[in-house]
Parts: sequence; C-alpha cells; structure tokens
Amino acid sequence: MTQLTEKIIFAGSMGSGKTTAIKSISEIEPISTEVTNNDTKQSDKELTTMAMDFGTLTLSDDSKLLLYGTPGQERLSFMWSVIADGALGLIILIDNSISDPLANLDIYLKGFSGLVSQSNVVIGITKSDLNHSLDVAAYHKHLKSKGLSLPVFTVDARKTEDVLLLLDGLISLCESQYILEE
Amino acid sequence: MELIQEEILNKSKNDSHLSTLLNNTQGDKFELLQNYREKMTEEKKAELSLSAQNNEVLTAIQNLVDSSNKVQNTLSLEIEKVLVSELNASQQESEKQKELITRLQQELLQKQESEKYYQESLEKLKEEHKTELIKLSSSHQKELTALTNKEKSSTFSEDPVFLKEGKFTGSAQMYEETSNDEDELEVSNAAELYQKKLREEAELSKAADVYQQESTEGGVEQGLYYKLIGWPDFNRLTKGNRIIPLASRLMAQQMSLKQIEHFLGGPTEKERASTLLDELSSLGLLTSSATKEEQNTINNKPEKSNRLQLFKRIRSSLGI
Repeated sequence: MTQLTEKIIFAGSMGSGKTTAIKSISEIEPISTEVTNNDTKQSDKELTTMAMDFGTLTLSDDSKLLLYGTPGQERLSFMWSVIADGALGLIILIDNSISDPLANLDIYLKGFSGLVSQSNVVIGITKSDLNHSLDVAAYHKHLKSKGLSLPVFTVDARKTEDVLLLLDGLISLCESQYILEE
Repeated sequence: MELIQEEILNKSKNDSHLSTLLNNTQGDKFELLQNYREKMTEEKKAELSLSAQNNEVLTAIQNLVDSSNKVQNTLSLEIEKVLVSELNASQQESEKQKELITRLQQELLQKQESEKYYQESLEKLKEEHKTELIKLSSSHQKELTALTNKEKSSTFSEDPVFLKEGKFTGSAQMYEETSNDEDELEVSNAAELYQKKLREEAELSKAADVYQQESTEGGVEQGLYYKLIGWPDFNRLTKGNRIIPLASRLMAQQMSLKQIEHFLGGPTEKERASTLLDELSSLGLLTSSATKEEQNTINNKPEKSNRLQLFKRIRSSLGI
C-alpha cells in the first residue's frame, strides 16, 4: 500500500511561535534547526530557526501529515517556495507586538502567493495582549484592502487548543472547496 | 664441499652442519659464514615483519569487535527508543480518544440541557401568552358588557314612558346618570377604548403568530440561501462545535437553513443554527437570497472523495 504524505506549512514573523506551534501538535520530538539569534534587530529571542522545523502526525491510514516551519527571517525567504511546494495549506503566525505587524503580514502573503491565491491560508495573531491597537477587525480590513478574505484568529502558540483552532480553520477552508452534499 | 640451499635454510641443524662443513678453507669458511649471517639477518627481518603484520591484524580485529559492540549497543538503544516512542504515541492516542469521548459526552449533556431549557422557556412563554390572551379576552368581555349596558341605559333614557311605567328594572340613579350629558362622552370614550382594545388584540394575535412562526423557524426564513460576505471575528461569536467549518462553508457557497442544521449535526441544532445566523446577520456579514447561485467548486467525484477522506483523517488524528 502506498503511503501518502501531505504537508502543512507554518510561516510567519520571527518569534511568532512557529516552532512552539509545531511542538505542541507533533507526535515526534520536532527536528529543529535552531541557532543563536544574531538578528536581534528583528527579534530579541535567544534562539531562532535557521533552516526549518519539522514535525509529523500519523493519520489513521498510516499516512503522514508533515508539519514544516519555515525560517522567519526575510533573508531566508528563498527557502519558502521550496518548502511550500505541494503543501495542503499555510498557517501564517504574526507577532502582534512588533512594530508593524501588517507590513510583516504582507511579506508572507507575497512570499507564499501560490497558496494565498488558492485561499488555503489562515492567519494566527500571537502576543495580541501586547498590542491592543491592532485587533482582528483591523487585520480583516487590511486583507480586504488587498482583495483578500482569510480567516484570522487570535491565538497563543503555546496552547495546543489554539493551534488546533488554526488547523480546524485551515482544514475547513480546504474542505469548503467541495460542494456540500444535498 | 659447498653448503646447499636446503642445508642453509635448515634452521634446526644449522649450527652442527656449519661446524662440520666449515672445516674447509678459510675463504670458503668466510663466504659460508657471510652467507649464513645474511640469511639469518633476512630471516629475522622476515620474522619481525610477520610479527608486525600479526599485531596489525590483531589490532584491526580488536577494533572491529569494539565497533561491532558499539553498533549493537546503539541499535539496541534505537530499538528501545522506537518502542518507547510507539508506546507513548499509542498512549497519547488513547488519551486523546478518551478526552474526545468525554468532550462529546459533555457536549451531548449540554445540548440536552440546552434543549430542555429551550423547551421549558417555550412552554412558559406559551403559558404566559395564553394567560395574557385569556386576561385580555376577559377584559374585552367586561368592556363589551359595560358598553352594552350603557347603550341600553342610553336607550332607556330616551324613553321616559318606559321608565315611568317601571318597565326598566334598573334604579332611578342609573336613569339619572345615563340622562346626563357627561354620560354621552363616557360612552364615546368607552367605544374608543373598545376599538383600541380590539386593535391591541389584533396586534397581539399578529405578534403571537409571528412568535409561533419564529418558534418553529428559529427567526430565520425557510427557503432562503445564506452566504457570508466576510470572515467574522470568531471571538465575537457564540462558541460551539463546527462553527469554524460552517463559516468556511458559508464563505465558499450558499446554504439553506436545512443544510446548515444538517452541517451542525441535525435537526437538534436548529436553535444553534438560528443563533449563529442571527449573530452573523447582526454583524452585517450575512446575505440571503431566494435563488441559488451556481457553485464554482471542484466536484470531480474520485478526487472529491479522496480529499474529503483525507481531511476526515486529519481531523480524526488531531481530535478536531
């Protein structure tokens, strides 16, 4: 029997919680390529993902759902298209506490334009408690100005249920491509 | 006499042979001795070389054994890790399933309680409404009786003969009251009040009809197709199972109320479907139409079936 694999991508700003999100749902200890963060201008966290994070989830038919986390730094954006190729969908995590989260979101919408055009994308806002001026409505407004309509959730990447909420949204989007049976 | 090669190489007898054979001339002796020494030197060298080679082979074998042991240890550890990992995974899966069952049981209980509460509220409301109608009806009856009496009184006041003849069984006081000018105004007010009451009754009856209809339809019109025009902030919606998938579906295609109910779990979800539609409507995100639009979605049966199965498996594995 051929075992199929599908993949879901976690992208987003540095320090937004991609590695944590993958850790919270992966059934294996995620393979992380974290190194000491030299780009303190973007984020002051100690470690950062250099190449990618990788986790897996075995489905009921023994096929695998692969979870990939892309590096957050824009200078490593050349890797994004490679990782995203053939992906089921994309979860963009945005750190709401950074100086311009919406501009940051635009980078990922552009970098993953293939998946964005298929509308298989959900957006998770993390650290929203650190910036109350930019709420979900503001994100929707921004997306609308770009002709996009994507679901936006406020999440805590450390909480499994919040990560599952994002996955629920993403799978729902994928499912909605199929006509409902009468 | 010369030493032959066989004699030179015959190590065990070399010395005796040599002592015998070297009783030749000095020149022969010297040459033989020299040959003998050279041979001995070569043999020693060969022995040393062989010994060195043996040592190397021994070291290599030792290394090989060590390496093999290490590999075996590593392999054992790996197998142990894999087994532990598998065990943990199955335990986790089992825990997840347990949690899912517990959650579903809780949801079922909540649903049952909610349904019970709803039924009770409905019954209570119906009872209140009934009481109100009875009260109103009784009040109308009284008004009507009063009006009739007053009209009768008024008629009698216009026929003093009737009064004088004592045919009217009412008291003289009544006669005096009804013959008063102010009484005419009172009758007029009473008639107005009666009309007002009739109007109120009609309105109440209409409201009751609407209420009845809303009770059965959940405030949402049947036969319409609903669609979302924008994503809601899910934090502002009533939480519940399959709300996000439903919103996704409503963003992608129109759905009738029946389909929405079915999507949420069946006819028992009518209340929840209505609540959600009301919330979305109040946010200005819901549109409705009497006609169904053409769907621009993938409907290739094998692909559709495969993909839907995949999503189902993913949901099952994630417990969502």
